Amino acid sequence: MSDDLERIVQRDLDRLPLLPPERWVPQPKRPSPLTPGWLRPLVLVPVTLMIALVAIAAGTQLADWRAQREPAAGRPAIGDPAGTPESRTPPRCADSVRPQSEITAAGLLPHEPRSPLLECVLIAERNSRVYRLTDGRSLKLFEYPGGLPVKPSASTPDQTGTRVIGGQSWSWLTINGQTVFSTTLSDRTYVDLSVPTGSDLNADLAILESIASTLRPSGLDCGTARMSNAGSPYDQALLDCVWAAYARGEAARLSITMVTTEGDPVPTTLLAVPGGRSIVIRDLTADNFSSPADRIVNTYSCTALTRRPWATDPKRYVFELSDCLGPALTATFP
Amino acid sequence: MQRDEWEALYRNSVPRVYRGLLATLGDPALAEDALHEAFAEGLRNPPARSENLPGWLFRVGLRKARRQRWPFSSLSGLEKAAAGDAITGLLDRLEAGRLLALLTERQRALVVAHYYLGLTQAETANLFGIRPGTVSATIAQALARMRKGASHV
Repeated sequence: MSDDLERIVQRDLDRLPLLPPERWVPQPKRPSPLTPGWLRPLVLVPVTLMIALVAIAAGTQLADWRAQREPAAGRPAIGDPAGTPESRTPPRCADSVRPQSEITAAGLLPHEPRSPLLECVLIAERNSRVYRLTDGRSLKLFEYPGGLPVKPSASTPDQTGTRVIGGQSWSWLTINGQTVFSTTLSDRTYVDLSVPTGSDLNADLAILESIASTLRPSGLDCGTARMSNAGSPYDQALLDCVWAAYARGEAARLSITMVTTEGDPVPTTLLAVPGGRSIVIRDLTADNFSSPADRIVNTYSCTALTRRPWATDPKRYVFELSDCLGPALTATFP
Repeated sequence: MQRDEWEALYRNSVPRVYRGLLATLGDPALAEDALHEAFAEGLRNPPARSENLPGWLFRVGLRKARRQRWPFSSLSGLEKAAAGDAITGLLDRLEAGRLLALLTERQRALVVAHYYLGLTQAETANLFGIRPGTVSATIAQALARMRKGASHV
């Protein structure tokens, strides 16, 4: 280690005030004047349950109210800018035992159809999801950020064509018993939707067209920002945007690029997913002054996300993620 | 081991262990709770050897703090919170506090164990149940981040 850092750690930590000696060992706990200790679980459990029920009820009411009032606020549908008031995120299928993660590994909010033709979600993982349609068939949605690499196709399509949905051109084809709708969106995400080909091709194309028209990012994109260095202030409104969405049960994404002393960018992306695993992706690959072994992309997948106010300015805060899988048990953002 | 005997050993280690926990956890109330939990654990299951007692207390305290980091668990009085704010403010003003704040909690724990509690990397690895190479790599990453941050704080 650099001796200077070691000296700073030694010197400064020794300046931290100690507890008074009478608080060095735990004192016998005094019984609470309000609730005896043995009663606390009996009180806490029902109170917690009640709070959870009230929160769920309030969240549902709020979601209904928002859906009626502003059905597509901040999340324009592809091909249907106004969205449809009845469109909702499909629920998880009761008989599904497959993964239900909601986030792509590339740090983007996945696109999600909101069509009433979708009964429920069978599988949701990384770049693909499978939905059960109301007619009983399965619909597969596949997306690939950055455009699909060209690959040799082993089969030749039986039929092909194109459709324009809300100004977006989609290709369709039938191949190996599947009818596939595909396009590359303006953010260079390749998307395809496929169903097993039924007896009526036109009916299948109409179903896929209807579902494609409701496709939109599954959460709120709070934008991107750039910090000149680790200590410079960032726009707190961006963090507020994430927290507000998270608090109302909506996924949100924010990307902040820090710049090292030498000017190298360290993009860090947060995907805040209520009820799921929130993700922090820190890309150190362009940090040319770090050890080559450290130039990696660190991904933390965490179950809890909280705000931690700055001690020096409680109006500002950072996000703290805990119970993480990845390089550490906790992560902070930005 | 009798309580008096354990308490005497423990009290010798408290200053470094408490400050180490405080620097790692960044929360005085949590650090105090963690210290107390480590004391209680030592009473129930004393460590096999006492020469590495600060390290043992530090590790047990951190483990307990992680399990107990639940909002209600550290609510133990307004006076404690007020004192905590003052200490947290001091930690933020100290250069080491600001540098350690750039690290993940795991990196902070290993840096504090190695450079403040004075454990060797092998002892740190043994105590935290990880490989020496992991200790070395984690500390190297932490130092790189601290060095980078040193010019800003």
